[in-house]
Amino acid sequence: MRVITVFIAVVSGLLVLSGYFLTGFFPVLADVQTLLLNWAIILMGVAALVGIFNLITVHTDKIRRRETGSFYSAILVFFLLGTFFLGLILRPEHGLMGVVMNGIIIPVEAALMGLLSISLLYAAIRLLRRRADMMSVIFLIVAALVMLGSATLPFVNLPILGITSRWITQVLALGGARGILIGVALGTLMTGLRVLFGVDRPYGGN
Amino acid sequence: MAISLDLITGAISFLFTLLILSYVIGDNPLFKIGTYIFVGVSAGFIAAIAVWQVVIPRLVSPLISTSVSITEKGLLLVPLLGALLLIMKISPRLSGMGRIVMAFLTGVGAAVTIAGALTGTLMPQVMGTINAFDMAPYQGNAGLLLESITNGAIVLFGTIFTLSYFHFGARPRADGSMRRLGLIEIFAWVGRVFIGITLGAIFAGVYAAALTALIERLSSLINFIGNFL
Amino acid sequence: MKSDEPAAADAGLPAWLSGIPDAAPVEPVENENAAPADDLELGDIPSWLKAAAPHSSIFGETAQEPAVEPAPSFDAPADSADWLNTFKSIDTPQAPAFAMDEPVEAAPAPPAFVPDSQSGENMDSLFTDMPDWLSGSVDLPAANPAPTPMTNSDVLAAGELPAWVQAMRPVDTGVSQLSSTLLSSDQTLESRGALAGLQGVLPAAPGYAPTSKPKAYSIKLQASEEQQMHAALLEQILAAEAEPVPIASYSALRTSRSLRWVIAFLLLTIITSVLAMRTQIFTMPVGNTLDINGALNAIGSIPEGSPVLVMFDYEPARVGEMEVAAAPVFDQMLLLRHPRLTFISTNESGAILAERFITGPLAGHGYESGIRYLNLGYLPGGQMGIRAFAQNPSVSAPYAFSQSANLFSTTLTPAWTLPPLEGVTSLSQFTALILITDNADSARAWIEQTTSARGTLPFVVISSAQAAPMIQPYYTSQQISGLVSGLYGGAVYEQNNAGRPGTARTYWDAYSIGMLLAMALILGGGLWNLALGLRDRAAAREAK
Repeated sequence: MRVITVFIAVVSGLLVLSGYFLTGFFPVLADVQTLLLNWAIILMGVAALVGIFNLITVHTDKIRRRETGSFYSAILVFFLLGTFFLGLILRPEHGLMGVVMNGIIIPVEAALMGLLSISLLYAAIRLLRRRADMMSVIFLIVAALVMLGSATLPFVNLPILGITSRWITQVLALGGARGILIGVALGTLMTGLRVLFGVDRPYGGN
Repeated sequence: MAISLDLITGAISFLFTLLILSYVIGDNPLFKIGTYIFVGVSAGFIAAIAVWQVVIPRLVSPLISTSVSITEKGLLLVPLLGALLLIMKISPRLSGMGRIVMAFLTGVGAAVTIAGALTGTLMPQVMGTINAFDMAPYQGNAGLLLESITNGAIVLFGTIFTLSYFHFGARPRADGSMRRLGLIEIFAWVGRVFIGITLGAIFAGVYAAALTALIERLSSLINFIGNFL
Repeated sequence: MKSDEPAAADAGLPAWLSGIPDAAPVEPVENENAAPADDLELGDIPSWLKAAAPHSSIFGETAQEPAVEPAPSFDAPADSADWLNTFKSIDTPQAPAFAMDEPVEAAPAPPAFVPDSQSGENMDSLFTDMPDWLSGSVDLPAANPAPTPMTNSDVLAAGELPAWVQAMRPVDTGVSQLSSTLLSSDQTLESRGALAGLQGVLPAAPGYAPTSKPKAYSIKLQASEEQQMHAALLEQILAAEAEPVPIASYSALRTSRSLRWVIAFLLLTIITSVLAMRTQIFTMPVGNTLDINGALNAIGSIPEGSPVLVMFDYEPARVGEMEVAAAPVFDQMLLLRHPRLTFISTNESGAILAERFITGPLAGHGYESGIRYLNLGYLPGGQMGIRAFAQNPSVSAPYAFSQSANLFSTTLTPAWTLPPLEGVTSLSQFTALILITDNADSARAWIEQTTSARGTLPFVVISSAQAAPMIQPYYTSQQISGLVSGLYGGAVYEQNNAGRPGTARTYWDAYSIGMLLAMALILGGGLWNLALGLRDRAAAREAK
């Protein structure tokens, strides 16, 4: 099994990779790449379904074992199955599914996001009590300056605030952001190559 | 205000916003009920989308369609088999069979990210750092030229110092401790400052996004109440 | 147990035993060697052994002159313990402790006393003359006559035994043998000791007898000093691991519920008040930034009525922010360029959010699905899906996300023949790409995977404020044409939209107050907490 999985990972990866760089020499590689990518798209959709089935299994087990919080699990499973069958029958684009999205999903997510503002502010205020080092001080000063520059004052306009804030975000922060991006790209490159060389086998082919 | 789908949506939205905002006074059953309903509804919605937007149009429909050629149908047997193998992951005994599909997805995903990182980020970003010193647009304007060079230099050094921070090559010292080279150590220290600045800017952005979400929710509550006043 | 050790002292005797000599009418012993002189010498012998010994005092009889001298082969030293002397043969066979109508069968249990095989020939005579209780434990010769039944006249006097021993012995209590026989299947009758007369209390395997003396095993662990040192070291390590180590930096950290409530109260109260009063006292931000200018230019360059691809890649959580930022951009574009829009999303809820956007903030433009805009729906697979779409969009997203009037209908609407996508077969045939995202990774994926396919197409990103710092490098490297981020970006863009009203203005006062409040709290609260932290650390140092 291990040889098969490594073979599949390496061959499929190399075929897709060659579809990026060698289509000038072998035009058929573009078609092969499209084919493999479309297979991957289908499988990713099925994987999402399998994941949701797993969620149902976990919560139904909790209900069956009458664990703490099984009442909430029952609520979750009920609404999950209800929404799924509603979407299956009516289709996701139906108006009722719009009610589900605009009435439940958006308000809950947005309200949770709104609560985050309180938590972020709390954490920032308490940061210096926790660790009073140079990094924390720089972090908070920059955050405060960017916040100041993102707002305006009543009745008066102080463009200097916006200019300072923009200089921080578009010049000073840009250096760090670009360094992080290049670092992430290098890391991605190395990780991907390790997978393609069969050194890393995150799919479980130890 | 007549009872309409919009009113029902508004009422449900109002209720769920209050359920979640009740967390301000602490974790409570109402908040929990709201979040569990949300998770259930979201998962059900995603499942319905996966069926209607992936499984039916890309797998089931082409296989049963008479307008699709035999060759195309034959090629679809591969993802069909893969889907069956993935479903086997549900069973603990057969979950090993799903590894074949996971291997395929990992291989394809690795190739896509390698090519994307190389052609979409690594090379363009390096070139962007170099091109910041392109003086052609500022010829004849000393002020702008100086500003451009200064900003370009800050970005260049910020990038180098930040990358130095991620350099973890070290040598053992006499006392057994591992330390980076002296110059790299200094660069990394300055890199930390740049990373701190970037994270500070990101924090301000996250707060701004969260604050806007809070404003939008409170605004919707006020508007809903306003409908009855 | 040696009789000469504690026997001399009364103090060593149990209270109940020390009273025996007075209570029992013991006659003086004539021969010193024949038997222990008195019970004092048996002070440490338990009662059951006393009962077993043919002592005169126990049975209320005077010890008789031994008929046979102890065999020399017995190897008993001359100064052997007195209690051993009790095992010397006596001329009168001892009777069992209780009377029986039938002779007692010899117990098949292992013998309590096994003679040495190297003993002399006198051993036979020794054991034949042994009292019945002892001879019964060895194999008797076939010719040996059955022991003489004893009568109840031989039983002990009640006063000679402690009460608890009396209670244990069924002899005097007259417990029926029948009952025990009925209750127990083990017919073995205990013939000696405190359990004498009880049946089936010590079951033994018939025929079992050890053939040799059991080996003595030491229970002490055989470990060298080095091993013991290692064990001690391991114990120390384990003890250190199990011991909780307090984290100094977290010691002073306790959730301050009151501070949290104060922050929540301030934010909620102020923002609600400002929104409810609909104030517009804060000035809108002025001055276009380079990235917003880039977006304006890109939107302005779109040909009239041309196809534009719009990617909706944000979570429902940020719908407020994204709609505020995107609305003025689209409002201007739809008003000035009347493009044909095509929506796609790598987020499951993106398709619905796209419908919400076109029928909400942009409802005034009257765009109809399938005519002026088309929703391609959900594109799964993340980066893989984006690459597939960039390579061959009509294959990767073949159907429209359109409403069907019939329930249970699996009819799918082919997208690429509809008016919004007329003349479009590849990504490069769109005239512009607009990405609306709240995630820097999503932006990176779209930028990376469409690099080769889009060529020099204008690419505008409308992002959340949180993703902007990580998208900014792509603008400065000219991989994207423009960037509008957050409510701030939306507010700036809104002022370039010919004065048309937008949501940004509605939210701006509350947003500005929220940002200024946060800045003040972070600086003020930060300084206060810095002072508290320094005080705590100084106190901790002093405590050390």
